[in-house]
Amino acid sequence: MRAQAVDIIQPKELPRPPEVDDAVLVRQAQAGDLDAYDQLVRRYQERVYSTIYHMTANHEDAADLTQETLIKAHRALRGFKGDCSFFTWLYRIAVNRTLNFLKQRRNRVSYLSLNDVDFNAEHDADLVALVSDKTPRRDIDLSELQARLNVAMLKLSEVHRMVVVLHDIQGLPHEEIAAIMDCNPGTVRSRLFYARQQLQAHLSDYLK
Amino acid sequence: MTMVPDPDEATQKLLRLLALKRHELPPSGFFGRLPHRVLLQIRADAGDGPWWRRFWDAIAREPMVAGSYAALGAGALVFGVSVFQMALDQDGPAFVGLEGMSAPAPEMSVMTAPTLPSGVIYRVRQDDLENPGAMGISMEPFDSGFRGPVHGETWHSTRVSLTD
Repeated sequence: MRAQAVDIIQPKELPRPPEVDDAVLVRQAQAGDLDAYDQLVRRYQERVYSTIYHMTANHEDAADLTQETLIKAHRALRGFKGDCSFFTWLYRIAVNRTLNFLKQRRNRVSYLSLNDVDFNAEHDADLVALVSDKTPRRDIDLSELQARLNVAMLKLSEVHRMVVVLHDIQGLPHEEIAAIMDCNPGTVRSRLFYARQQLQAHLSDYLK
Repeated sequence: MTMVPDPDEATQKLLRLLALKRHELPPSGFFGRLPHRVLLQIRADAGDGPWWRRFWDAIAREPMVAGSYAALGAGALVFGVSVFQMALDQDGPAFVGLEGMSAPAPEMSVMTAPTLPSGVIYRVRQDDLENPGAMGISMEPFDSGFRGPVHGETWHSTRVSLTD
């Protein structure tokens, strides 16, 4: 009877708003519940890692920075007042940590350490159309295209690259990006416009 | 006359190209291990939990350290066995009590003394060394390099032989 009541209140097919769950988990984590923080980590680790990886184009750096970000966030969690969503707050830490890292990396030689492209990429109609126009050897040129794309991304300044990563790859809205990067949405739009122009110039071979 | 590409079309192509980035995935199992590593580090920073848990966490966090400990332990074991074997080769049959193992208890030495074979290197307590007749054996000092104390008592190496 009790189970039925729960089912009626929270039907499985209706996803609960993540903000509510986050708020509860954050409160529990702030009280010292590591299991609650573990759930938050599992919820956002992929997005945090992806953002950092697309910024650094290096898996090892991204893995270290993601771990640092999640540990730093736990240390700072008591100071989180809930002025923004946990997601935005966590992203802000990740973005700042990554930008600092990239500033330090300017002084040393950096290497690409790219992740493998997953199997689904070869069945992505848009990508297939882009690559197969250039060569019939699709598998090889997907890797080549991946390398060219990452090199082009690294030619952008850090803030321009960050906007492309957050908007065009991660799909975040301008307002969310503005909150994360502590600027206004107009700045985000202008950075995005400039960054796309730069990328189009660098990747003109593939965009004809 | 050169065709000027439509800005919207060029942007759409670029976005399709950027979609490739979403297919770049870290090695399999990475996201399964990462939360574990994060929590281990948080626990280590907090320094909470019993010593064995922190030790275990440290080993789990640094597999190389765990490997080093294992190699060190294995090396110590091999060294101990070698020393034991050398003692056997030098002095014939010998009983060597190891620190940390149960050394011969006083009552045990009295009970087993009559059945001890001659020439056995044995460790006895100071009291027994001074009064070997009570155990029905004779003993001559033998320096195997062993020095007590064991279990709070000083033990000595001695060559044991049965008295008639």
